[in-house]
Amino acid sequence: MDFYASIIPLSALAANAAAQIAFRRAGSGLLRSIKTGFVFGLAVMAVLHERFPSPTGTLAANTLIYAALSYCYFHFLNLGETARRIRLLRELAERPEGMSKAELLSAYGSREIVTARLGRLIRNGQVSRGEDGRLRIAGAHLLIPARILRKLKVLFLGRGSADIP
Amino acid sequence: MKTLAWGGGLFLLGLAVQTTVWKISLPERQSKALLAIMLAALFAGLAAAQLLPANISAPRTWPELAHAALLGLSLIFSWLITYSAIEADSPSLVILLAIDGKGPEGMPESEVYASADDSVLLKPRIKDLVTDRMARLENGKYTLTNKGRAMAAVFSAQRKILGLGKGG
Repeated sequence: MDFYASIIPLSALAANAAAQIAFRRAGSGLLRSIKTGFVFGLAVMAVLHERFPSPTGTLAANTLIYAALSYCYFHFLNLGETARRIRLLRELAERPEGMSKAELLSAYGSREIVTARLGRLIRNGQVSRGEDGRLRIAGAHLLIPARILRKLKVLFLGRGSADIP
Repeated sequence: MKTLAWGGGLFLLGLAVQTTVWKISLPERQSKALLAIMLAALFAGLAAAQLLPANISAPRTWPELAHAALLGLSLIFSWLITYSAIEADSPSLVILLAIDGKGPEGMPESEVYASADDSVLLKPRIKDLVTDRMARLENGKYTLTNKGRAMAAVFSAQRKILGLGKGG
């Protein structure tokens, strides 16, 4: 085995990120740009494996490495977009003299968070708002990971989510 | 196959050690402890592989070791990211599970707003910033540490490159 076996999935990830940024800057939505970047990186990896043939085990390992690195990249983008801790950090970065807890909560309140999250869930077809104004589950793409995370939380932390009654 | 067996196997070993440690006592800084356990399992395992007899298949050359380490590291970071969603309740997932719990009758929107308040969504995250040493609390004011400033700069740059708004 040569070092190129390790370089192939890293090159594919670089291609993924470059394509994602290019598509996003060209006006594509964030989620669509992430999907496009992933497919582009996968295509680059296929071309590189065609150019440098590898045993099946190496190909399987590189596919797994690329999938795992792409998952990390997706979450890096997602952190910047949705993570409360990151948003709080950026609020604090804009105020070097510091902020009290009350100032932080007024700059970034729970109402803003719920409005943004609900809007995203509805736009992405995971939740629907009926004519009666009630919210219902409309898709399973996020519900299945949510249920898995709830089970993992019980396994590792011995408790479920902070439920909304 | 050596890469898959060793990179994947050492990741699973780290996961087993983490599960055992968590059952004994939950660390205060969970992500840091998880990373330390996983990295120790991966690199100690790859070092130990060098001591095995030659008839046992193991990564021994530098390219083989690099490939197995790359697989192990990519799995470790994927798990670390997933674990952060286990550790802290994601508002989207909490909302989704709450609506799911109401079944076909659905959930009034006002109920979501009434229950997901600052004490559930924000106060624990402010406390986390101090626990993770990204911010300090002095004289009733939160200010960023160098670590917090570096993290904020990374994500501000990311949002600028991608042309995104404030987020959150």
